[in-house]
Amino acid sequence: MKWPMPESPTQRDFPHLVTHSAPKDDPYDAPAGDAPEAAFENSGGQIVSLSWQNRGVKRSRFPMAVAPYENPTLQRFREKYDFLDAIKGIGDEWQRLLALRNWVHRKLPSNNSSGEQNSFFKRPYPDESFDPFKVLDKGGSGCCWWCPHYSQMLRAVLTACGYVSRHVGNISPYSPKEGSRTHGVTDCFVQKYGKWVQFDANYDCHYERDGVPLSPFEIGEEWARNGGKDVTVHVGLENKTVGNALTPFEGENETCRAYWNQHRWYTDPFSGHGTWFGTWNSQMVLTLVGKRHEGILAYRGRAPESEVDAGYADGRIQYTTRAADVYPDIGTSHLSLEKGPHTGTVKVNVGTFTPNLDTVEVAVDDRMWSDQEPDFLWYLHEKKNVLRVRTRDKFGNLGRESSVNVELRAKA
Amino acid sequence: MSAAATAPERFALLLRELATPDSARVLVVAHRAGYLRDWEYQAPENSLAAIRNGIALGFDALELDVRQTKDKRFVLVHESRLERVTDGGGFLQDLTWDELAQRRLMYRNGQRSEHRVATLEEALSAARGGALLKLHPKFPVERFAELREVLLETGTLEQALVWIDWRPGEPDHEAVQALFAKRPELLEMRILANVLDTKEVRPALKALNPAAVEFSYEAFAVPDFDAGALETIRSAGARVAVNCMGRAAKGEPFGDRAVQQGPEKTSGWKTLVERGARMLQINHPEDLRACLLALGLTS
Repeated sequence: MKWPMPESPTQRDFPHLVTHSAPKDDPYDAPAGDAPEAAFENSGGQIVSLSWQNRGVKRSRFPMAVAPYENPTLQRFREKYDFLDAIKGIGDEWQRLLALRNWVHRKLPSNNSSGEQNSFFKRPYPDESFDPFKVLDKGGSGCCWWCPHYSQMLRAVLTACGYVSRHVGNISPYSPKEGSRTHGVTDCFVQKYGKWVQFDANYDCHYERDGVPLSPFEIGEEWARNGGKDVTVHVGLENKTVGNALTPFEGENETCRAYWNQHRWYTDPFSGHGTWFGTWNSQMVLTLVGKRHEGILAYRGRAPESEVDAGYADGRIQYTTRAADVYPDIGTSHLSLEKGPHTGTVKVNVGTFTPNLDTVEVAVDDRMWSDQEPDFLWYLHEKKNVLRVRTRDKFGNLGRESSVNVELRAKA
Repeated sequence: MSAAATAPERFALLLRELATPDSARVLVVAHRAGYLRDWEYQAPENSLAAIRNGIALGFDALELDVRQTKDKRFVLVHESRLERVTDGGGFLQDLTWDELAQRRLMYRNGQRSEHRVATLEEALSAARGGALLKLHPKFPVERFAELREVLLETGTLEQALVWIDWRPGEPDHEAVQALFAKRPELLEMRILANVLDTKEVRPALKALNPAAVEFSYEAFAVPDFDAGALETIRSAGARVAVNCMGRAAKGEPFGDRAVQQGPEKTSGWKTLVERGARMLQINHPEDLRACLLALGLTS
């Protein structure tokens, strides 16, 4: 059977030349709200205390391409290269991500001294699909690798490990003298922080503020706010802080480059669809626009050839003011509670958007996690009850946990 | 029957099998009409594409989850919340059919499909004359009369088995008894009675006259399972069914993974068949079908 290829929906489904805003009564947004006391009406007891940590699920209105776990090319990629060895024995998701970034950084040693003459793909990049096998097999051959190679390769490796990520084309504000500077990075949804984080495999780094890793949009916000002076740059497996974003660091750490963030949304590194090296391509690109962008046009390229980003006109660049369109929740669980059918029960419904979902997992009180259907009954008892839910994907990755705690005492 | 049986011949055989509970043939029931390979087949769970695909792949029966929209349309959706199965969020019960029809179904890998949610009428029409159906009603039993009407209108009364939760203590248990006592014509529908254990077999047979009696894997796999109950079921003209979506013991995997034992992952199925199961609901219908073909227990 021929493995199905995703088909880009850009032109067909989404109007262009508009900035999409959040719809009224947003049906794509499932906020958690407060823990409902009414759901415990049949609990058999009186509520002493009730609390929950319920992440909810915010969806994008734009469909994304996801590599299925079963894709034979993805499986071959997992078998052929040793990136899984790099994360063997590492339980912490964040450390695994750093290890994968570091692996890509090491596998594509940059040899800028050889210049563009030795570039595997010359700039501007030809219309050649990204082939992670071809690039890795040429990894140490002295080729000159550019930021999109690192970005796309990290995306391929993250995808092969089940992490949802995108190639992001960052573009600085335009100046007539310098044009705009661009840089290709990768962003990935990190369960530990419950947010998207920008990774740069080219320089093996990411940006943080107050200990929290930042997304491309957040980095741009920091630059717009104060030039990025509160942003720190962290490098390597050790997460070493090399200074703030104003400190020169191989020339590519300027937060201004994240002014515009063009997320390559509809790509799948293992289908051969929509994954091209540079920014000169026809795949769907999503950009979140904020106040900092008001009245400003996105330019791309160096002076004097800089030009207004033409993608806007042909509909492939989609602009939105709704953050979840570009930064949706991945792998989170939305807990809904309703009154149970019998005494001592609560009905639980779990909503989730977990690509390559294997199962919903539930842990009651201090018991082990076990697989569960998304709709189930929670059996309660006197005193403290704890319910935790999360998802597991086919790669074994765990989603962010949601939980509810309720203490009951016998009715008088 | 030869492998070259036509679709009508195959369908006629399935109806005969359903009426012959002591036959050796094991009926394969595809959970959610078959969903684990949804991307490969471009057929999301509970979709019309999944129904057509399941028939084409030779699954004997397709399990379909029937729920109702805010404006009371019967539709095929597995769970209450819509984040996993559609490209939006929220509860199904809060959407009208027109609103739901704007949504697109998702593949398990997280990619949006071009398919929308199927109405029950569409699903039954697509399945008519193709395969048996196991309808899992997830709506109030008071609407069973309307369900019967839809089955009659679509000409699928004969091929559809309506799952009924016959577990004492469950809210539907008493409601079903009361409803069927008041509306005996509802028993024209073929019933698949889900029982908690063998003690409930006789009451279920008496009240529902089911075409099949279903045990959970958990109940069927206990060492002291009362095999005599199976004879009671067969004598009443009903088929013995096992829903493999469960876990036999604490700590065991959920879904049908627990059943997939042994190096070929088939020994669990074989054990169930040896014990007398003649209808298995499964997540891996292709694999089970291949196993049964090798054993000569399907065609």
